Amino acid sequence: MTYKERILKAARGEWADHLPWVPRIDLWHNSNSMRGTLPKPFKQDASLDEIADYIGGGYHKIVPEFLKVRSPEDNIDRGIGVYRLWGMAYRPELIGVDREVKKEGDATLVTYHTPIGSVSCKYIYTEEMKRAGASITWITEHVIKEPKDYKIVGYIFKNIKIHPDYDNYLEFQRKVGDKGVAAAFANLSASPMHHIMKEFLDATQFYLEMYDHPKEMQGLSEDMEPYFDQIFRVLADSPAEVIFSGANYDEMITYPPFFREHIIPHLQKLADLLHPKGKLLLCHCDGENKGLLDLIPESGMDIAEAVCPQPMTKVTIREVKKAFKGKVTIFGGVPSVALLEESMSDEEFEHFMKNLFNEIKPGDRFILGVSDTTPPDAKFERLLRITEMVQDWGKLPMTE
Amino acid sequence: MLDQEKFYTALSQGKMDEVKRLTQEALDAGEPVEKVLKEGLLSSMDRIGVRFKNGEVYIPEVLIAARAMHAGMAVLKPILSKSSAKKAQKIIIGTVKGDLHDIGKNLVVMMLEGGGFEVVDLGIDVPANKFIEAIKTHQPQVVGMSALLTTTMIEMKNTIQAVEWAGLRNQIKMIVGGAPVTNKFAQDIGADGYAPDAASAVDLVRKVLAE
Repeated sequence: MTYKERILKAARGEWADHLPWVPRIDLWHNSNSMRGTLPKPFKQDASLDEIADYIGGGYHKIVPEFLKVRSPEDNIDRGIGVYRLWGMAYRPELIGVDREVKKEGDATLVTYHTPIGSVSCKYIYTEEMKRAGASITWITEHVIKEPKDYKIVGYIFKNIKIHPDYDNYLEFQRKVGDKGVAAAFANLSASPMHHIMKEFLDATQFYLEMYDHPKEMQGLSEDMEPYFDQIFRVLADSPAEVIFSGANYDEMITYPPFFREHIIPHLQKLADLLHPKGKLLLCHCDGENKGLLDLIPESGMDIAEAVCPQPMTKVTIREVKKAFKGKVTIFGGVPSVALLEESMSDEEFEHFMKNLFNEIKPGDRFILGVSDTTPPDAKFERLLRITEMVQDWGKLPMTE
Repeated sequence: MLDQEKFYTALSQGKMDEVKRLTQEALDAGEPVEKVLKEGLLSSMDRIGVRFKNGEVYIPEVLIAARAMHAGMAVLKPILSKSSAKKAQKIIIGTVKGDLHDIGKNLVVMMLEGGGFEVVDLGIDVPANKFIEAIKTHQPQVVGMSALLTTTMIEMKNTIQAVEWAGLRNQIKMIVGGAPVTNKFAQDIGADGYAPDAASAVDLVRKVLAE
């Protein structure tokens, strides 16, 4: 079986021949390339895929490359969470909006002028962020600053037209080939309210605004529905097998009542479009999921990617498997700190991994990965060691 | 007579004006300022903290309650500053250098304030020298550091070392928290304590101060 076949089998709840091992190494690669510290035998310009081939797992092609742009247009609307990246299966067009862009050192300031008013946002990408391998810019000034901004942002989203861009996606799919699954990106947010939380307001301010301006927030959420609906329909008709919608679920940030009210209905809506066409829904579940474990299987999600167990969270993989009841495939399992010498000695790492393999048994609905990504200072040999373990112990179904 | 239930109800509903009114009324009725603070504001916030820890309320409820508590504190502050009552123990807190995340740290700040501590929030992206400067200026009993990234958690170690080199380590307790931080990591870098979440931070501070 190819890596792609293995991943898709596991994602569909079928038996693959071997446990799929798909380490995410983009941040590690960005940082070590930038610092000139890629380990031997790699040249300093070694590509991500070259290194992934050397490790011997599948390609992790889930999260888009937010910074590798073909033109500034690709990520200029990052401040409102709208992208036109290489490999995406849709292309958003802002209609009736004039965009004004200013560069101020490491910062990009974008102002959106609409017939009903203007809003602005600022995001940064500093040298320090580059060295740390950061894969996305950071919003320092959010687009909603006062109550009148809700309507203006609503206007922008009500007037976004989503165009299919399947050739762009197919290029991505061809490049990945049979080494992995090229996930088609919907949004980092699963729903309008999740989008408002993640992109339009400072995290703390969002919760206060829920109390201070609930009507304005609800109005904006309604204005954004057509944007999400268009994306969902275009992706359901796309050539992709797996659609990625929604990231960073966490029991504190996307607390259970919020997850139930504002995230599940949209995941279910998307899943209902995808499943009749044989497509799968993937979400990036990299937070503390303990309080959400019982809700995730109700959501229609097929793959919970970046699932992170103890010691970085409160849950074990055994608990996650039990809660998912065979309905959701776990993608992850190796917490990023397990790859750091500061956090685990070699002996502790070996013990941790042996225990993890025991918890995974018999290996159904499981894609082994790093949650959520390999850190820049990871001990590279540990990735190779996991490949050995998968070779030695990962024949499915796993028994002894 | 100070009505604790009224304080709790107003606080848990985030009613800032109501909390201010209750605070002023309690003072006008001759209640000592320390009693209004402890039995009116802090005990209500503490109840909300316990409910948060038990998963009965969530982050929005904690944030609006903390904001309402601040509204009441603003009424008390001018009187407290002149009072001879024992000062609250002080904590300085910040997200370490290179890390721009603040929601977890903000929540810890609110829980600690609700626990009766005076908190100096240094914000995000705080380098070791700024922690040292703040220790000298504010003379805290505890320093709290937060990190969300595996790339920045090492700054906690650097900060602890820098505080040691500055000769300040023995006069304070240093505690850490954040997604990639584990108890073992905390021990290895020489921290005095680690809390796995915001709800546990108050207990941790009380524990390290009692040691």
